[in-house]
Amino acid sequence: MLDAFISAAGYMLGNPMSFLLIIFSVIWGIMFGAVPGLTGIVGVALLIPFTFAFDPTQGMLLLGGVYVGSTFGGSISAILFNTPGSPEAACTSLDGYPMAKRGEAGKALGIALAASAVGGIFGTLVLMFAAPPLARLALEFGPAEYFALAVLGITAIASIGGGSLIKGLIAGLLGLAVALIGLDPLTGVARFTFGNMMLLTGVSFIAAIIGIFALAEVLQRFADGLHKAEAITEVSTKLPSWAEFIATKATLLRSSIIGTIIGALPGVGATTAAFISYSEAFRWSKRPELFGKGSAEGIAAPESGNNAAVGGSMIPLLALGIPGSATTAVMIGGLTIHGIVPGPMLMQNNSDLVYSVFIGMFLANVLMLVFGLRAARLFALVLKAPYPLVGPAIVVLCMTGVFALNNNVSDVAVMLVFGGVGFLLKSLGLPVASFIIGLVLGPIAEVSLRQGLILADYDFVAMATRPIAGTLLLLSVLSLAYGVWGQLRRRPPQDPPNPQAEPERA
Amino acid sequence: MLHKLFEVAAFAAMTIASVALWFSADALPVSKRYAQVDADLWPKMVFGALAICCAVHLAQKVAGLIAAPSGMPLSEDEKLEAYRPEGYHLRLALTGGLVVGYFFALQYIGFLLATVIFLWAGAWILPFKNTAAKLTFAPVFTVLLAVLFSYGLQLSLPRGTGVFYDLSQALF
Repeated sequence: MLDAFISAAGYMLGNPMSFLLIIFSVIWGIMFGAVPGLTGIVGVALLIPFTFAFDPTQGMLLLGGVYVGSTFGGSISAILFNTPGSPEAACTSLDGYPMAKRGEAGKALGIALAASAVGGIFGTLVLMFAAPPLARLALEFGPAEYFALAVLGITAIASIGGGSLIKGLIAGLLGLAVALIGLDPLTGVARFTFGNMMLLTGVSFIAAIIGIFALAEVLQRFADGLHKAEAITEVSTKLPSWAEFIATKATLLRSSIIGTIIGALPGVGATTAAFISYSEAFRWSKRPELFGKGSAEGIAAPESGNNAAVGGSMIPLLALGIPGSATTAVMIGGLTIHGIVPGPMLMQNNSDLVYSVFIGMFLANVLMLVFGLRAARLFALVLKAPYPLVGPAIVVLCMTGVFALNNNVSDVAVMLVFGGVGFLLKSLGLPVASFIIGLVLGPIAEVSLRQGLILADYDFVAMATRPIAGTLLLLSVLSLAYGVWGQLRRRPPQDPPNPQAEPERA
Repeated sequence: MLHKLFEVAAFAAMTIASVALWFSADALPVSKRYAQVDADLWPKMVFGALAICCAVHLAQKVAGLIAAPSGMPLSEDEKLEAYRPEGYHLRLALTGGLVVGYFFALQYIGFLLATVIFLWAGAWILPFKNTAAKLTFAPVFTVLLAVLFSYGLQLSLPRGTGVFYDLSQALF
């Protein structure tokens, strides 16, 4: 591990371009996180075609930096605008905006920034130490275990991802269905191509994700029209004093641990981490009555939680090849266009890349602190960028970026179709993240199942009762049961009969 | 009410499509070597599960419609879900049409002209009073992007056909 780390550090020092890319990606990420509707996923998706111009390590540094920057960036608009720039910052607005409204916007941004850096660095350190042993363990995995892992990923996002369980499952299954298009991996039979030769190689993953996230978002924003919101753009970030920082140390530590663990679970991302961190901070707080009124703990908890989840979600991506969140699912596209397959062999064959990503994410967190401190005022101005100009420009970036992948217009057509699919999914309230994770996990699940059955002499019970596979399948059942239980608990109680209401209804 | 009906229609269509695709998977060519793990195994599982989930959700939606016929007050969640701002569908159709038009224009008139026209047209869909910014942004952004792609990243851009191809060839 130390050798690989020193080798990666040597690579970074010998390539000053890497540092420039990290700086650019953090700024890009904060900008995309800060503007409501753009989000980090769009920021990552738009940059994937550009990674072609760099080597794989630099490409991953670029995407990793965007992920780190955007997770913090969401808090800027949440605090100043009461409009979370990204879903994971939704919780931050609960206390950030009230604090900003009472004239302490700089302090609120400072707390968010410090907490983000603490959580982000904690998550990255855990990533550095947990990913290599997990990858070694994963080398023991056979097809049965990979199938079970894929099932866990699909059921986890369906059940813990919030909202309706059945809608999560439908979206995940739709993703699995789209992944079926193309040649069968075992027999070579063309499936669901409907005679279209372009579909024989399957749906272009990058074109699909850019369409689903970026294009669908622009369509939605244009259809919704412009909304006016109360914005506080005159700000200067003030980091909390040492005494204020120490006062939140328990919250920061607890939220960072929660965020890292939740981030590491396949399919559960920073948004869940932020909400659970917030609710735990409320539960353990000595002054819970301040929550919702501008509490420092109420800002520190979700921010350290969601940034810790960034490092956490990279653990299953790099160690197992399973995305820990929607953004890491998109990042798989960045790896695959360079011919790199994420998973345990990546740690063995491309240790320079993996350790460079660790170092890059660590640096990105430090840089986030520097840029967030100096440039909050500038990023607040980004919020004023007119969407009538920004929206069409994003469409242009989507089209040209996808075209540049293979110089192929059919990829652009695929992106357009998936832009429509993404818009429909949103209109029907189906979670896009479940769809995209289904799309990623589909081929892994299918090939592993069929190979596993061949190895187990077509005995599914023998395959499913292997120790690791059985444990993972049991966890899948538990996570589904947890989702069902959560839905039952959320269901509003039936209104008691109200005799006074009867005459009105009649 | 219209939103609820749209949802019912969409999930009914998805249920029917899933069943049809299940049969389509059943009709895939058979491999003797992989008879028990053939090409239809996984698609049948996926489409079978999808058909069941869509049917269950459809039943829930229909039951909801029957239980709360039109005229009944909507809950806050339902109101939020069904809310569409004024001009929503017009803006959606305009934006969608413009994006599809841009896709075809890229192929025939090339990146430079198609992008400038698209950005100009796109800037008028949403209200924005700064006409000078609308007019200058399109050519500036297009030229910057063309320079970045062609010279910075060495990536190609659509050049169009015929005279437009020659024009693009001369410029980048």
